[in-house]
Amino acid sequence: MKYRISSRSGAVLTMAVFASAAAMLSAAILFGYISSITERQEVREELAQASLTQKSALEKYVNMQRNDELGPGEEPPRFILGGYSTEIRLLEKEYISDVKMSYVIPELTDVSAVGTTGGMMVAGIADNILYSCFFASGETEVSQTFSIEISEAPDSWEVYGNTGGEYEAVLICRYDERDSLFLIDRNGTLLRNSIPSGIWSENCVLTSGIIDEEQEIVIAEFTGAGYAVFPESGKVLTLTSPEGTCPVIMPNGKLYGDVSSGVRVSAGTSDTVLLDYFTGDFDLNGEDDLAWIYEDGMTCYLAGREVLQHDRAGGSELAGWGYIEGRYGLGGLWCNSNGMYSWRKLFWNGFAPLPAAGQLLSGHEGRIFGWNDVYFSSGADDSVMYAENDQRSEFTGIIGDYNLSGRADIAVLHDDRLDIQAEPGGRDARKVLIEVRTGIPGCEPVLIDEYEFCIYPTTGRTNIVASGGSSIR
Amino acid sequence: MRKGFSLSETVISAAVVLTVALSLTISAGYFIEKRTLVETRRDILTLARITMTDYETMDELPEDGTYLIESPGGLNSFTVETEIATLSNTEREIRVLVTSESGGRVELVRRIYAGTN
Repeated sequence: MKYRISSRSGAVLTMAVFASAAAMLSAAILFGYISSITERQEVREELAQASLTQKSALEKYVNMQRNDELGPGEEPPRFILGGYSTEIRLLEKEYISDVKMSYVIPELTDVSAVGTTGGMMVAGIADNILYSCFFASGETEVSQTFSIEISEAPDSWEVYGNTGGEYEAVLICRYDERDSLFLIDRNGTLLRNSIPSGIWSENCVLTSGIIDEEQEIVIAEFTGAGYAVFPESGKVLTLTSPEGTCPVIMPNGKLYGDVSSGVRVSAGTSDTVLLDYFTGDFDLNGEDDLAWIYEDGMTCYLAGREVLQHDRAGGSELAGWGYIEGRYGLGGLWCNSNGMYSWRKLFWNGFAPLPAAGQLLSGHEGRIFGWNDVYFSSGADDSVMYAENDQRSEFTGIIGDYNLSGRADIAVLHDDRLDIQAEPGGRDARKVLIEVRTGIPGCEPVLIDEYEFCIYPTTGRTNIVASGGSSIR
Repeated sequence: MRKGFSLSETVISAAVVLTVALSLTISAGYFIEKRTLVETRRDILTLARITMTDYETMDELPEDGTYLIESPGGLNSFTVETEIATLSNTEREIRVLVTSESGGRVELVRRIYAGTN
């Protein structure tokens, strides 16, 4: 008996083969995707415990150093916890004390200073000359000074720091018809272009970064709308974002906000003034989250879960806000119409009253930072409250981390000079640089970090941060 | 010329379509189940880390205990189990175990020392 496959049966078989192949391919892709997200999650879980083991080991090390339990050059024993072990190697150790430096700025009457990624930029305009100087982090003297001629004296101007990319600061000058945008690096090199007037106002939030290998600047008011500016070409795009937020460039170089048009539209206006905007890992998932502060509320965007959390306390206004547990807690100090203060913090399900509110300082306006007995608060207008124990003082200046210790330093701006005081409140500290390796015993380490921090001879708490410091404004 | 499909062709085609549909359904079900589990594990980890951070910053640590917490939207519930051991006058160990009814568990251990944070 002979079997013969007809052309139509052949087509059915071909279809069957292709359909099976397509199904297998789909299944393989899904399986691969599931395997990859499962593996990533396993790595996250491993790193969570490894970082806790490392943190515990570091604290033990700090305690041993503080109590002089380690001899000169002696290294601490291996620390084992939760299935991971941590080894610490001392690289450098030195004694430090308060550092104060002063820089005279004779030419300028109207000066602005901003914290940047690499230090601090001080800028001022006299007639049609832009004067600027740069203080590099860790240096005790001014690193660069330069003056640049601009076309004419602007009606108003403002300088912003932390630009991302190779530039240190953004300068915006307002003129009648077009505004000018300058990007300045630490050597005084400029990138300049003009942008349509009406985009920038003094209430704007400005964020900057490299997106798709191109420098972008986002200028936004608290109206849900903003503009993405490409400094090299001068091109401007309109951006939108959900209610309670404004478009920004996130620390990971992504844009929060949608590009809705390639054509500039007129600037919107709103009665709501944005008081502050900052970032931090508020839900501890390893991704930077965003916080917007306005007079009667705060909004937080949790980047990992892609959810917005809003907080408002009816009839109350925000008197203070900021990181309340290192960089990992978002909190607000609310003041009601009777002058009563209460703290609220971002929890798992959203904002709720903070039970341990009595431990936190009250009565400050603006951003709050604190450790040991030293607290800062910084308002949107650059006014800074500095409090050490019961002593308080207020001045105009900025908070940064110029000596890369991981603790805030302050820069006070006077009419003709700039004073920088590194680590106010720090006395006779020991600065140590260590290398820390954490992993499963007998395996390659999963965490290798260098830490530089100061140990103070007090019973106060020690804030441990990674080497390189962190600018907290 | 013959018109239409024969019975055997129809049966083979139907069998192929059914097999493909079945395998895709199984794959999709597997995909959804695994993805949900990973998302639950991610939530569990976030909750465990937040709980641990809260304990790290407290001056007075709570007693050992277990409590239930619902995820935002109430789609999932988690059990948070805390165990605190005093190892010496200056050293305490915090153990946080978070589990979910829909699967997944994360246990984090941390030691804290008096005078540091």
